[in-house]
Amino acid sequence: MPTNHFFSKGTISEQYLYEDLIIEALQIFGHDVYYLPRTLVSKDELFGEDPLSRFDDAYLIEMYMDTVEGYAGEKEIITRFGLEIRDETTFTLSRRRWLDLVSHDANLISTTQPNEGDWIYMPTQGRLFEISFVDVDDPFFQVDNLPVYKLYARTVEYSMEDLDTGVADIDAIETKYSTDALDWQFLGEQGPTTIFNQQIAIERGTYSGAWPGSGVIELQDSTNTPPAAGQMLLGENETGFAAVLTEDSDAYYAWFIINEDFRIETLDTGSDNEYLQTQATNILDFTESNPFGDPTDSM
Amino acid sequence: MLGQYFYNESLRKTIIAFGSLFNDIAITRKNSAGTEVQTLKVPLAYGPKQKFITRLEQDPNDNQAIAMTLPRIGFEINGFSYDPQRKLNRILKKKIVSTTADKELKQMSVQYSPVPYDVGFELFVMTKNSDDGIQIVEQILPFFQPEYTVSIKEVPEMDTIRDVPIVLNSINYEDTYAGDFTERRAIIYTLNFTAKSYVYGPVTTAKPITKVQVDTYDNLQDQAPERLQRYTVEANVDASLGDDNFGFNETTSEWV
Repeated sequence: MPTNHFFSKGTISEQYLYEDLIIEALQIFGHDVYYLPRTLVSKDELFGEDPLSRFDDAYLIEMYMDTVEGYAGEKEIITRFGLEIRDETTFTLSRRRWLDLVSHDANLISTTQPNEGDWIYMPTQGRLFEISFVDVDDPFFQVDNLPVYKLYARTVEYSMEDLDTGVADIDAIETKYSTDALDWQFLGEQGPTTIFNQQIAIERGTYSGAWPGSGVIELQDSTNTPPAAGQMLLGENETGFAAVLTEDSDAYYAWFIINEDFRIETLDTGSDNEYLQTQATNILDFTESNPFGDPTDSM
Repeated sequence: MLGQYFYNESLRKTIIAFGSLFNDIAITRKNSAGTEVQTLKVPLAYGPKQKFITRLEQDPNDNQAIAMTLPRIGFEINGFSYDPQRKLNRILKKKIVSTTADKELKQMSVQYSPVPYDVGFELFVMTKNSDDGIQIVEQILPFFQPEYTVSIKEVPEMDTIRDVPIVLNSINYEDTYAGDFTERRAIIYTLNFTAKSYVYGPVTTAKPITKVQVDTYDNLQDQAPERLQRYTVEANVDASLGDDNFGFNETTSEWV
């Protein structure tokens, strides 16, 4: 038997009013947060993951924290891996506002609703959250519509994802926590796609600004002063390079040079790598080649 | 009875030697074209620490933006057990004589045989991505067949350097990928090791006898004896011969 049509669960105008009231309430009681859509870079089909995910955009939008008395979750705990901040919360945001402000982003995997795996940055306390679950039907059709999303989120376990949102506070998170050595690599002045050439100059022809003083070797048929393109001797075209590599590099392994400021102890203050390295220098004995130990010693 | 203070740092050195095996592990990430775009050095830390120190080191101002960084490696001791198979004769001593030129400072150090102990270690590898995890584990496993041996300067003052095999016993893998969306996924490898180490007792020192003097008397002590002879033997210490049997200078004085 169908429901009684003499009782309406909500007209269109009621639904809009209800939604407007929700948006207004969220804008009064909510927080300004940034919504960061995830960009998949190189998805691993076997493991179903994308370690190289990046976050290039950040959309400011208001959200209400359902855990009004603070974060839920285990909060600060000490584990065998050091300090963990296991904050959890639930954000409520207006469906219409999300569709207006965020849904047009080209990187969204689903444009009809927030995506699990996207991040939320909360400037109030500078915390970065990952959406673990998007609840699309809570509350459930109160006036015959679904005006909000509920985003279950917890603090991000950061694994060197690129953050290039243009929001300084968010991008600083990558700078502070990333242990990617390639961020500290010596790079070539010109990129690998750049092709450039230079004039061949006589040795004492230091350029002083005015011609003739540059010492450029001029072709015999040159008529312009200074010589125009095609009237002077140029070096062979050079292609730029991305990074300064050591001689051992080959097609498969690139051995690069990094800035000495790269220190795991500074980037990850909970790590003991350098302490152990220093201490072990005085404890381990390498005076004898050990055929059952380090293979490089026995070869 | 056992209260003679000594501390050879045998166990501390074992921990450091074990940890140093894993302090230079890195993983790489390549894009779809096969180009290496990230090279991550994996942080390593000994797990058990004071909570307040950990807090103050990692997040002193309560402004850590993230839960933690991954991948990372932790390790800790999980037990000690006496290893009777490696038991040494308990009355064997190792002796070493100092090579100082100063006769007054010259001494012999003695230490009894160490006691063999198996030190159990657990190494935890936690990653966010499966591929990161297998990259780390794959860089560890080939070196343990099933042991990897390091030479540790166990007691420097006794010139004791001992090879300590570190045996990889087992590897457990935990991946909580199933379940509720709000549950945290954790990829953790737990590698169990045994370091076949030794614990050393105290080093005792004794100075060598370098001079002996014997007096001979003509009667017992209560009869007011007169000394007849004094015989002295003194070691002829050569600074260049640290533990040589020296030579001797003998002197005899007589009162007859």
